[in-house]
Amino acid sequence: MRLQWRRQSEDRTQECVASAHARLAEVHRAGESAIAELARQFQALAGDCEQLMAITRELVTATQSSSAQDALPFMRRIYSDCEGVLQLRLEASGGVAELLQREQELLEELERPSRAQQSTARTAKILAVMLRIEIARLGSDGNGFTYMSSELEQASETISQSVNVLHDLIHARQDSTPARRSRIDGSRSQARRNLALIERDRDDALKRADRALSDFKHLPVAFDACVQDVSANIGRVTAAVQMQDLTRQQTEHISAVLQAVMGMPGAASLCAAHIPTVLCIQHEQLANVQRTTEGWLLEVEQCVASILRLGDVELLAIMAQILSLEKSLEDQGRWVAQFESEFDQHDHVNVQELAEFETMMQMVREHLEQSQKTSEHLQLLNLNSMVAAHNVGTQAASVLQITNSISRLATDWRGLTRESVGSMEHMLVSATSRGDETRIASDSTRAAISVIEEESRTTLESLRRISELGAGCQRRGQDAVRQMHSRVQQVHRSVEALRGVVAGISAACSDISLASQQSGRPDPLQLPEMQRHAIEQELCNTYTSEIERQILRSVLFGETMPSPDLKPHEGAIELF
Amino acid sequence: MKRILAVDDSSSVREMVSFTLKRAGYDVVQANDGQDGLQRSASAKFDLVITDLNMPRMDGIQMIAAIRRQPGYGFIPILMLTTESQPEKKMAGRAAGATGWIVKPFNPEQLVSVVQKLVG
Repeated sequence: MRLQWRRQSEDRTQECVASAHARLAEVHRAGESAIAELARQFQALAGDCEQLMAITRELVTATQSSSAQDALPFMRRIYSDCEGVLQLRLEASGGVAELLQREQELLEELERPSRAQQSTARTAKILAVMLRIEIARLGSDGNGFTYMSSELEQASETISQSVNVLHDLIHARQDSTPARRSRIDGSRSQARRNLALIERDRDDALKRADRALSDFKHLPVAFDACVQDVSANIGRVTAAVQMQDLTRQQTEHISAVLQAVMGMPGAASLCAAHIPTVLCIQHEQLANVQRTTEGWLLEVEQCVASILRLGDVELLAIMAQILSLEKSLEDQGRWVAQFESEFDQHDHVNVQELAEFETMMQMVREHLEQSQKTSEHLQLLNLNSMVAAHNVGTQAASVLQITNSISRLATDWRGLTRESVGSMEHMLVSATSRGDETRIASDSTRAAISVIEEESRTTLESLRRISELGAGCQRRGQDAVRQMHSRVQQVHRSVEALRGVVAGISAACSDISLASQQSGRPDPLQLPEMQRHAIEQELCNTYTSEIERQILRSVLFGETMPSPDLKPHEGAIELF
Repeated sequence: MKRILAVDDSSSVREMVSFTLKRAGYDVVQANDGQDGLQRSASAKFDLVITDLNMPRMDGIQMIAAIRRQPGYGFIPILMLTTESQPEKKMAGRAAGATGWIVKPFNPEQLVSVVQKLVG
């Protein structure tokens, strides 16, 4: 009865061992094709990853080019140039405002001699009338004075006209002064507002560009770290995939031992008394295979996810910075164009003011020339009158008095003209100086804006080229990332297939556990030491790897059970 | 371009060796056991051979010994790439003509570094 029970138990053990053996055969078959597929997919994924890194490298190189690196100093210079231009413009329009003030003073100065000249003109008219009366009273003796009378009338008329023109001009200019002052003040206020805007824009744009360039500065280091990270991940996956070779060898050895347990032809011979302990050892071996396989599958999944994350984040971050820098420069370019248009308007105000002033000066100049001629003419008349009066004798005493009056008139007129000329000369010096300054400021501003525009265009073109390259890289990068995502799905499918293999290993492990249970599940550590050494001797030829031997020793002699080691063996390369 | 023969009965390991060395700029030919490796080494010249130890039909040590006997293969580097690290196995490999011993799993960077040291 007991013998029968024992035989039945042995039969059940053999059934479990046979089932485990069959499962391991399936594990080998399925595992080989699944791992081959995983290795293929992983290689393709690593290829995609390298392509992505090459694209990223192109981008990083572009961001390190002198065109991109010069953008910030260039932007600073543009803002500084624009500020300089605006200051120049404010000074120039300040000069025009000052000119307006000087003009006011001159007009006031001119007003007094102008009034006096009006009075002189009236006196000349009265003298002409009196002269005509005296000539009539002299009868035939007065013939010599007739031409003098008509000359004096003509001179008084000319004086009167010239004085009226000057008077009108003075009043017209005085009337228009508030409007002109308002126009110039408005233009100056606009320039000041622009200056404030420049300062605000400059701070924003420079901060943005500074941030972009500061990020660019860190890109090579970040990229190198990224390359190293990807390389480390590829290395870890390469090592993990190799673990399959180790576990495959372990399962082959377990199969060989199971064949010995089953007494299959060609299998190694095994002492029947050792079989329960041997089964315990096989269980531990297979449990280790299961843990190791689960471990490296997890490692593959984590590394692949990590590779994918790196590709996404780095590429997009770089592109955002390039676009931000390009936008800063584009904004600046638009602003410079607007600035130029406003400058033209402001310049027009200044130029118009100067032109009007020059017209006024021309008219005043003509009046003074006319005054000079009149003065000389009156002197001549005075001289001729004196000669004619001398010829006529005492009868011409009244005419002589008139002649003396003409002489005083000529002297007064000369004095007034000299006074006006003095004011004019002072004004002319001031006006010429201000006009020249304004013209120089205008020319300098135009030249400066032209240089700014040209430099802005050149830098923006360089940056656009980088941006276009960046956009191309981004497109290709996105394609590569898409490709990577698709490849990762395939890797995941391969990993799932391998998880099926792990399930097979787990089932085989359960079979062996059951077989061990059927055979009484002994505690190997309770066996006599000699017997344990004998079992070690029987199995050590089958277990050729270090890990298998460690498991064997841990079961038989209580040594520490090895944990699955997925890391490459650092320093395990030996050259003879 | 330097040519390398990678011999291993595990296709995944062959792929990983090939992948690692191709990335480093080498031309890699694969063979799936010692017999296949011997035939390939006879039909073409290689600058370096990397082989597994335990393989069906012909193991790594037998293959190394046979390759060493072939003309032109007396001094080319041959590396063993195996899970085993017992001193007696290493001695056997060295005696057969192996130049070095690498324990699986290998570190890709280290593998490339050793190959560069041996063949440039």
